[in-house]
Amino acid sequence: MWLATTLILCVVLAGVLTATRRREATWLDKVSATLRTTGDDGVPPQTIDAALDRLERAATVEEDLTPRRAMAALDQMSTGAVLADETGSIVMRNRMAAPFATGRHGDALVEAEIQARLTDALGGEVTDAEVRLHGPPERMLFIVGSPLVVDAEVIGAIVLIDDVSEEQRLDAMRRDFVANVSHELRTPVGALSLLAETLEGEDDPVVVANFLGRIQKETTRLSRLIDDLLDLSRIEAGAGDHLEEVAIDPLIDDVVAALRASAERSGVSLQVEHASASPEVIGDRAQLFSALSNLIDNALKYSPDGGAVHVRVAVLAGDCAIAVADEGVGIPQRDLHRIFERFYRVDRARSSETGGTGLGLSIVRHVAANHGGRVEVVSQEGVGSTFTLILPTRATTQVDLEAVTGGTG
Amino acid sequence: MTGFHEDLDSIRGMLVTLAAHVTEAIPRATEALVENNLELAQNVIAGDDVLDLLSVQIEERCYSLIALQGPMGSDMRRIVTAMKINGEYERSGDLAVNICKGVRRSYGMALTPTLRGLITSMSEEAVRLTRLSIDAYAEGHVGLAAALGDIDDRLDDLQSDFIEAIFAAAASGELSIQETVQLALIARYYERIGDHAVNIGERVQYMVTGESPEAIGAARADEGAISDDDIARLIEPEDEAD
Repeated sequence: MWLATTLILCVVLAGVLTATRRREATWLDKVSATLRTTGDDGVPPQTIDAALDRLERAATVEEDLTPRRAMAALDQMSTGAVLADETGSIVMRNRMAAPFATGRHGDALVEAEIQARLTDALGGEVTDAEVRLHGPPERMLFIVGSPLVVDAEVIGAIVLIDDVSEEQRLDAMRRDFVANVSHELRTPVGALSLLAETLEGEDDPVVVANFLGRIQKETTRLSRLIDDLLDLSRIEAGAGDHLEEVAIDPLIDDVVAALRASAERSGVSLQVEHASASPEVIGDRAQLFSALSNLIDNALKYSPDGGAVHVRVAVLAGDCAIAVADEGVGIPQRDLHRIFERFYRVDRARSSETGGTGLGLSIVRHVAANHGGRVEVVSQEGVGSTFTLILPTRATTQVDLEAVTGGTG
Repeated sequence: MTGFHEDLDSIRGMLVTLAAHVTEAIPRATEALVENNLELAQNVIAGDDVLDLLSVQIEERCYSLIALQGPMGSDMRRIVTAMKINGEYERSGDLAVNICKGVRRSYGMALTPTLRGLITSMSEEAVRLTRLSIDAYAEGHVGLAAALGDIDDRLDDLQSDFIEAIFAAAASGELSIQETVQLALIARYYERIGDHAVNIGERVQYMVTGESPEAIGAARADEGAISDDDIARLIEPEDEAD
């Protein structure tokens, strides 16, 4: 695929390069012809201005649009392309490659790599390099330089720049998903198998009771995992048919009431601060309950004994923002962009302590998306994390609906 | 042969690349530190050679321009500034290397989430300052250059918080004396990167206006606000102690 794209580009760009050269030659021919021949008035141009005017008119009529079409086509590509002539002077950059020329920070390093690949290519070599930019934003670019050879002569060089960050991210996600899901499923199943095997030859009633308790715990964990998987599968299918006006304040009160006992057991104070105006959203109440429940439950799980979890509601620019802040261990920067992936764990060793399934934040993200909203996170290790669920309020949703349907008035 | 101003633009481009290497080296060094990643630490240390080479090339270009073109006025200030800030960025790169050497010396050290969080914040501030310094230089932005000193206050505050946190961790037995010393040194490296960015800001002010904050202080001393005796004591405090 990469090779085919390179070959096609090389052919197109070699065409542009030779067309540019041909056009220069044609232009010179026209200059001399115009200066030698007579015009519409039957006389040769008498002044330089008159000659230039005549040339300009001729150029307007006879301009060859092929190079411009090729350039416009190159601008449509998602791959950056830089073309140099045989002296190394850059004669063309497409839209994707243009920002590197004057770029700073990470872009300046990409430009340095482009120049290095051009130098190699003008020496007749095809070379490539991967550039990993720590960012932010973190990026990975693949850069390849090739000579443009016509009639055994190097007439220039081309460098192609492909941003493979998204591909790499998806690859990592797919790879980790398989490893993580098998870990989450195998752990309880493996424990059940071992406990049952040990119980077979055990007569001591105290040990038997202890093992049965552990079997029950592992079964509950497996059952929760299956429930969460089914929930996620339903939520991924969309917002469902049960759309209704959901008042956020009573919903939060319900979630908090359900989790109050858990907070007290953990010795964590759970405080709620409602907005001055009581916001409402159009949505699926069960899904919204699930999302908020996951966010608050997570905050409680990762809070230290004696810590506090604050739930604050605010209405900002037509959106309802529900922020859940904890004073827990926080999330390392490198993991922040991955925590919404299914089964992704920041600290796998700690996951057995918290008892989560690794699907909670995935559910939150899908619920937010189903309601036209989003979820944001700010975190610092050792300080805590704040997750903010942002949903369009009923008023905004109605305005949108009216815009789509042409209004009711 | 290229023109004088094309050469100056080329030096500016090389400095932008040099600063970009530094802004990439800092977070890599931090990642190596918080994740105990020796391989990454070694990569950053090895990568410093590229940075040094570029710095030498910039210096040679500047010498060559001065020798061949005899620049004056604002042109001369641009070259002198380029030489000065070249040294500042090169030194910042060395500090990122020092952080990585600290990773090697304290390999296996378990950092608490609080310490990891503070290290990450110091690193982000150091990167931000370095980025802003090259923006100020490339755009000749005097206002931004002058603001770098105030922006650096946040990094200084973070360093103080970090020192307090490592002393607390040492007192509770979470860090050994050797680890505490290493971490205090590492905090100093981040803080110094911030100072280099502030110095660059001062050089940019000089490049654009012809006056640097240092020169204003020197002029005050020259006018007698500080006596010659005071200056002598500042320069040779050891003699006074003897």
